[in-house]
Amino acid sequence: MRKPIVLYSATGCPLCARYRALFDEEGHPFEERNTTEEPTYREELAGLGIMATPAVLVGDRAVPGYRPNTVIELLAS
Amino acid sequence: MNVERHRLVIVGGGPAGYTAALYAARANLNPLCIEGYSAGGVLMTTGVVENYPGFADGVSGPDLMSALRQQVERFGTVLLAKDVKEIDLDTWPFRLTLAGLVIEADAVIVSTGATAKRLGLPSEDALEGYGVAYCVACDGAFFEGKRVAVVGGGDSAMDQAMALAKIAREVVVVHRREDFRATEIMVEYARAHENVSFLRPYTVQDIVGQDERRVTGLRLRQERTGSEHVEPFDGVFVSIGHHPATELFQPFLDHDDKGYLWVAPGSTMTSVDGVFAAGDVHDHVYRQVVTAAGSGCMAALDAERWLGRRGGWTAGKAAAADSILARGRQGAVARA
Repeated sequence: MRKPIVLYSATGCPLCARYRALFDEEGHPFEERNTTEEPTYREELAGLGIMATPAVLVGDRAVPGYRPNTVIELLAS
Repeated sequence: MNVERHRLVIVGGGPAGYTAALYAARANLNPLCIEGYSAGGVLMTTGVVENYPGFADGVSGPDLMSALRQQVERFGTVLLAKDVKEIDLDTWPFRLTLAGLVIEADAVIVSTGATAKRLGLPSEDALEGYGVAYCVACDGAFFEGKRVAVVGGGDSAMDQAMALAKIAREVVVVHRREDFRATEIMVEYARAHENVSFLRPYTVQDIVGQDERRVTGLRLRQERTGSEHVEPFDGVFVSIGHHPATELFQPFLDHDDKGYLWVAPGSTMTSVDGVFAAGDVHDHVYRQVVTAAGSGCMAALDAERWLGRRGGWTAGKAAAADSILARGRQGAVARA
């Protein structure tokens, strides 16, 4: 079963766009939470101590920043 | 695993790689540009570029890269947003391994650009994303009303400080030397912001955090006196320059101790026949968007001629070019 992915993004964040492209290319569905449009998403991240976008939740694992290889490894594990 | 064969493969999607792709596509070389997951390169986290010719009001880094990418696509370059995992330049055709795919290439242009330098502190790794940041466009909003440090003294550091000044309560630029490497105009721009100040010459000894989940300050050393103190900050943006992203290629290509690839003077040819280098991977002097783009153009022209000389499908074209050049040289000799 595929692990759910949540992408926390920001408007104008180029590395968030790269994650979008990566998930689309790999065929992984994901839920995007734009912290610029909805500041409560920023608070969700802050609740995890994360002060960065992109940040990705793979299942219950949080990956702050742009670390595609880490995310790919988590998805494959 | 699928194996694809290409005449020309360009590795890297920044100004050098895209410009190489543009020229190669217009020369009907049908290039494959492996732009990587970090396509767009350093410019994707750059604010306004004011020194790229042709943009009177400046242009944002991402907008410039987006326009260049569209231009490249228009001429039929195949773009691949994947990272190269392994490379073998000891065999020919050259072999590049990606996730689920092996690509064989007659010629390769290396244009993987540069990646942001890190301070190299264990605390930096532990606190990245938890108050240690590298991109104001991505992370600036998290520091609204807070006191943040920008570590660095170049144009990028000034650019980040100015962008943060609109969001944070206070921005302190921490620099290890008295003099900035930044251009004077950028320092003046930054200085004009009331909430931007400078701390120099100070080096960062450690990033102080709480429970590895929150930055609380920087331990700084005054370089003149050697004294140390902890300066309170809610976040730190690291902007201390870049180093060439050549790790993958270093086992095969001559390079200096900082990782810059060697190229033959006046060309983009590396130490391996058929492999060319463009942009920040070999340029340790200029490192500008416009020089990277120019270098990409040179690499495409060098690759085109090299492929032609190997008897490939552009042989006729290369022979014609050689003939024109030869006539030009004879003319120059005759005039002399």
